[in-house]
Amino acid sequence: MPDSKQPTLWHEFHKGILRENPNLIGLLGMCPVLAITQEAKNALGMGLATTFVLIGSNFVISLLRRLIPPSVKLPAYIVIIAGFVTLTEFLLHGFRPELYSALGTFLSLITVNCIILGRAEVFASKNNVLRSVLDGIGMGLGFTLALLLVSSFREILGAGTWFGLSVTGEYHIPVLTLAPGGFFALGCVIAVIHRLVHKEPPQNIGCRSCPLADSCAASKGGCSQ
Amino acid sequence: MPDTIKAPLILTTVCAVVCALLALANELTADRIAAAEEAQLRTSLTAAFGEGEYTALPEHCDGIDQIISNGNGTLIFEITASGYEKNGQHLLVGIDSDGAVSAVCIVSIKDSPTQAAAVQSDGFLGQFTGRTDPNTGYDAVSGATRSSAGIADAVGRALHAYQEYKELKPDA
Amino acid sequence: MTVFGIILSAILTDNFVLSKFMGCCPFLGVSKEIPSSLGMGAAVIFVMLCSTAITYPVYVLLLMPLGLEYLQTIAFILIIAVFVQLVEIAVRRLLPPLYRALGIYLPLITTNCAVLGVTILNVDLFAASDSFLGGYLRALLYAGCAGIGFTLALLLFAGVRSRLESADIPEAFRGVPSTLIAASIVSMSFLAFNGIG
Repeated sequence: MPDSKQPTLWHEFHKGILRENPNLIGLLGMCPVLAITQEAKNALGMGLATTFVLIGSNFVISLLRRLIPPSVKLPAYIVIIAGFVTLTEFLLHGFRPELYSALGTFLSLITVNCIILGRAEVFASKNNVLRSVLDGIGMGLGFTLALLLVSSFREILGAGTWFGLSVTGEYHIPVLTLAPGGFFALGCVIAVIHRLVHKEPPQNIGCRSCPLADSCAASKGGCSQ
Repeated sequence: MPDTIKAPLILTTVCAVVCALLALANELTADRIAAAEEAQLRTSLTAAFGEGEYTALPEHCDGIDQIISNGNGTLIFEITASGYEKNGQHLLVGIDSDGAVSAVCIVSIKDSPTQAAAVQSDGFLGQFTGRTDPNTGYDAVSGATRSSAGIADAVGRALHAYQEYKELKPDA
Repeated sequence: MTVFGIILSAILTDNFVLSKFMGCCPFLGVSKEIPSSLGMGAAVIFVMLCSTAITYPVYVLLLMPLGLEYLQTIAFILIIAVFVQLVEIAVRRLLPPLYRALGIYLPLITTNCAVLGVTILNVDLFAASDSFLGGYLRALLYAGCAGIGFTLALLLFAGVRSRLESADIPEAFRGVPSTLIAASIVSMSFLAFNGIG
């Protein structure tokens, strides 16, 4: 039987960075983008930590994809992801304690980042290890890019610095570094990115990319209304 | 093997393997983590109170994480206070042998960046130096009221604990 | 933390969605109408309370004495996932009207920052308490109030969004971006509570 045309390895890698950016286009994993984007330095750290977990979990889940029965798929993936998150906690606590305390609870909350569970469910469980790892790297970098864009917006306009270096000095809008700034910055960045890739801005936080779409009955009357 | 047995069995195996690997990782990194925390505390201690022999004291007071003596009569109280974020401020308050605050040093602070910068200034922290009475008021930094309140609360706790400690050990 | 302090901070000053940014996905996804917001809110309160009820003792009575605190993340998320799965099945079979009201939102809450977040924060804040029961009751109070705060934010936002429907918004911002900016304004209104307590 002839092989259907499979996307190239390059495609698997770079799709996650802009065109299918999990956060700005797929609207997944918004909590960390709102919470850890007051300083670009911490946002970068969060992005790289999440990418590490994503690569690791995609790798293991793809490796074990034929062994895990569908009925316990979700809990098994969650356990594997949680394992990688705990490993990341150890590594950051030991080698980068400032980043560890800056991320706080949100480091543990990487476990429930929809992006990771989403890629596991949608991609790693159905593709070989090499593709899954590339997908993980690409999606992770896309997520990191989203974090950097929003945090740069907030830090430059809100605190007058970028990565700690003074940019606009005395002139800044402090409210952007507080809670409302997160929502505002993300809204603006999503609008701009959609314009750049010539897409309509998303009308709803739909269920199409949510990892639980199959099992969640809300899709028939909850989220996408 | 029927699916009803196979599925939970595989899930349990996955859990067991992950936990075992984490236990291993914990073993390997525990020392490194303890060393990193020790180093961070040490840097703050020497920056605020100078080089010296710092020993942690076994006594325990309410609201204080640890009491450290620098061998020169100064007692340093390690405190976790809540500013903008719960338990987001890790501080050292040094009280000298006259019962007056010698220095307030911020080890780490999880408050929002503008607030954090504002309360770490000498202008704000300086007002606590020389203070002996835990009930003295303080001048907050405008726009950083909660962070200021957290630090002032920590200083009050340290002064209270100092008095408590002196009652326990009058000739220390 | 005093009881009053817990209630005040969980509902107003440190609102889970508008200050801590936990639980954004259901907040932004389900807040279009009041009935679905109420259903989601009720489901969140229920799951937060029950998860805390189970995870807190597991942490304090099992993980802490055995020195296994690092297994917290795995243990908590597994407990939450399994519990919600069981509850959903039970509610679907035994109480169909209740299922239609809030059961459908249950899976969405499982892998959600808000629930895992509240269980982790509860042990951070209260596990070092002198008495187990004191800490446990305060943790349950915090979880309940966090859920109430979430529901409050959700209901307020549903009201805001119904007004947004008829507003004239620039094309690039229509849909999700304007929803987010509206959320930022609601969040700003909650900032006003900062001075209390």
